[in-house]
Amino acid sequence: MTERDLSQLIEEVKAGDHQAFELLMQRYLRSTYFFLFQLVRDGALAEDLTQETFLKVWRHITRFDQSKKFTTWLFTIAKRTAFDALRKKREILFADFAAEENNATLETVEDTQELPDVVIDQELTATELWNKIETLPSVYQVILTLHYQEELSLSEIATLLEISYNTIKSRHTRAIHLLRQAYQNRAASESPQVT
Amino acid sequence: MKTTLATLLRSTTPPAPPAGLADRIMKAMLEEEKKRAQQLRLFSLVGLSVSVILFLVGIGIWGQTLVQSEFWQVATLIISDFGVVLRFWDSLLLALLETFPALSFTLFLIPIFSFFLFLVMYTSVQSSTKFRSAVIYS
Repeated sequence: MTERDLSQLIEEVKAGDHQAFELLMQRYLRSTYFFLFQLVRDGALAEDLTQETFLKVWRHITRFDQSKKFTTWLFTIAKRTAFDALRKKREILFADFAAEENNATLETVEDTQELPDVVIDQELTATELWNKIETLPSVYQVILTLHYQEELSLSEIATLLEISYNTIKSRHTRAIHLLRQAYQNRAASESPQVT
Repeated sequence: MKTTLATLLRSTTPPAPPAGLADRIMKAMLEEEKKRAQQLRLFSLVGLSVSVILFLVGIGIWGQTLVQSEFWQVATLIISDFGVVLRFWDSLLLALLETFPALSFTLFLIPIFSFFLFLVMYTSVQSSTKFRSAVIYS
């Protein structure tokens, strides 16, 4: 969906078009659910929060400023909805977010390096990739999803999560490093053993 | 074929949410919309009723004020002595303007305005509900 299509769709939703809202919701349902699931780690709660998030989008879409990025607005609503729900449940959100503050040595890891040749089958790799991502701490999953799937910049993610840019950058690097490590380990284990 | 982690992350999609979530959201949204329309309809109907009552009360009060005012005495001259009206029409007009009970008349207009306001609200709720129902259930 191009930016122009999206802004037209948003205009239609603003005018009260249900079908446009359904299209918009279908477009962001997967990523919103996944984002919320990463935050709350509870499937049923993530479902409820996804519903609440989209209801809030429907209620307040007229307030959305088209000059701003829709995904940032949507994920801010989702995050606040999750925060409120967790506050009610008296759970501390992002408890594991603070654990990785001093990983400065990983800042130098490049994220554009090629994966080992073993990564060939895209379909298989996609499933494997998400399995691997799901083993990462929540904060890494959030950053990877928002950065690569929703094309939010690291600084936009920092604003959204209310965490400093340097921390987000460091965690992004660390996430990429962990993923690459997982692939390299897999490649090493699959290569023929010389006896 | 070689690929980078970044390309791979961009080309894949996260696992699908539970089936039926989209339908659940749409149902909840329509339910909320329906509830909101009902609230607005009720609000506008209450508004219309209150406006009609205030209008009737206003007519009584304004009528009473009008009859008791000097304006009425001056106005009755028009009927009783039309010749005087023709001779002193400018003075009479000025006297009518000066004695007109403007405050009570303004207060009397308020329920009329509010009646039309609530009428517009009611018709817009009705038409939008009908239109949306037609779209959804067609």
